[in-house]
Amino acid sequence: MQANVLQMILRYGKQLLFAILVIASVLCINFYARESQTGPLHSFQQQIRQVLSPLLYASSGIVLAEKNIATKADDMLAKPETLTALQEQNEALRQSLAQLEEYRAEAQRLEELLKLKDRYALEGVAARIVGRGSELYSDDLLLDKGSDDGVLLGQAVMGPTGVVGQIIAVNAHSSLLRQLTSRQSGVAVMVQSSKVEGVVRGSLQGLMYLQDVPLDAQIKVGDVLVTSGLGGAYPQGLMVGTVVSVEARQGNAAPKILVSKNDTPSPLQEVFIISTMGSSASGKQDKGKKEANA
Amino acid sequence: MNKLSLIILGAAILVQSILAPALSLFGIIPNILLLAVLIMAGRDTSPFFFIAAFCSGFILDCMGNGPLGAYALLFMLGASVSRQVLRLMDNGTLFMNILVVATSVCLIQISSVFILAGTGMLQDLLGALLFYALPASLYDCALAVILLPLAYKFLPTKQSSGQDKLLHVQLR
Repeated sequence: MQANVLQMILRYGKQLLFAILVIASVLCINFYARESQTGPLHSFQQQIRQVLSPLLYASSGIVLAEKNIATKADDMLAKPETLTALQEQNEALRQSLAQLEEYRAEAQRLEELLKLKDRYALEGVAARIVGRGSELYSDDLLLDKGSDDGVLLGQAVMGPTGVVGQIIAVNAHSSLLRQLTSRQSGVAVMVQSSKVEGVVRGSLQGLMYLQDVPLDAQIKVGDVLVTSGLGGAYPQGLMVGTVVSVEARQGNAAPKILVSKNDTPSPLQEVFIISTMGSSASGKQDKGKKEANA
Repeated sequence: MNKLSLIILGAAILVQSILAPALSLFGIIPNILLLAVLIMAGRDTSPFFFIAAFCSGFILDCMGNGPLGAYALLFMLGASVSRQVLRLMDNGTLFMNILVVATSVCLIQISSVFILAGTGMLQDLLGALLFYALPASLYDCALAVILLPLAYKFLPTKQSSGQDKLLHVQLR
């Protein structure tokens, strides 16, 4: 009997292995979908990503190299004599100028971040965008600060002028930023002038829409949206974006409200990961208004 | 499985993680690992190639934020089905290879979107098909048209190694 079973296993070994792998995959998908973000499969995936994070750093280097190659290609299309003259003229200045320009841009960005930090009384850590996430179909960005620097899962991230997204994965020395425009993003907001509340959601096209607003709410083009603090994911009073179009729909359906993003993070730009917010930004703004009136 | 397949799949994993993000077009990252698996499925005659396809898919799952096991399943099914189709048609021309790989790429990309929707990680199914699956399939098909002739020229259809053959005979 045992010999027969063994013989069958040997005969149908390939099919059996195939079936086992199919069943294992289906079970894996099922468990992954059902478990929480801290479940064993999610943790395992995060561990693997941590191991692979040096490769992602390497990919950001390739993006930079690609830019350099594109610049070289542009140079090749110019007239040789013009190019030579320009190269001679610029040779002495190029390096120092480029370096100074980089320092100036960096200082400006950091200054804007500092202003923002002071304005909203933010506490946290500044990080630099060093690459893209490796996931297909996503615009997630890789930051150079991780759990060793105090970054935690779910923390809000700000650019020089407003909220840009949220931390969705943290490794020891890097973390992954999900942008507000991502299809999986959602942030509770309110219209700064009328205090009407709603939710700004990203979409597949990379656009943001204001949804879940009351049907009788008067939303106008140019209305500024700030975080409402509901849900606790984002602190209250941070700038999210501006309403750019309000498209009425037939019947009682809610209008389609398109929101322009406040800030577009790009590679090598600095961002600020918020750990705590000292006091409500709106409170500060109200105080500022009172002082101005006085 | 022959060693060449394993080397190519290993290289494809590195290319997928390092080079692919730099090749993104309108936010679409090419799935080079999928192409490598499908191309090698037509070139490697080992009966156990599906294990390599499964492992490649699982590694891609680990690199992303999608459900673990989705690409592993799709890669394994895609590699097995495309190989069977090529074998049944008994037509080893380059055009037929391109056709089979392109069809497999499209079906796998569409299936991955359906799996994402099925697990609740995607709400807008139609939008995902239009803005993700379709452009990603086109991009991958374009790469397949470039890579397959190279594979056809430089990677001969090798028989499986002696050890594999022996194991296959034993199983039979």
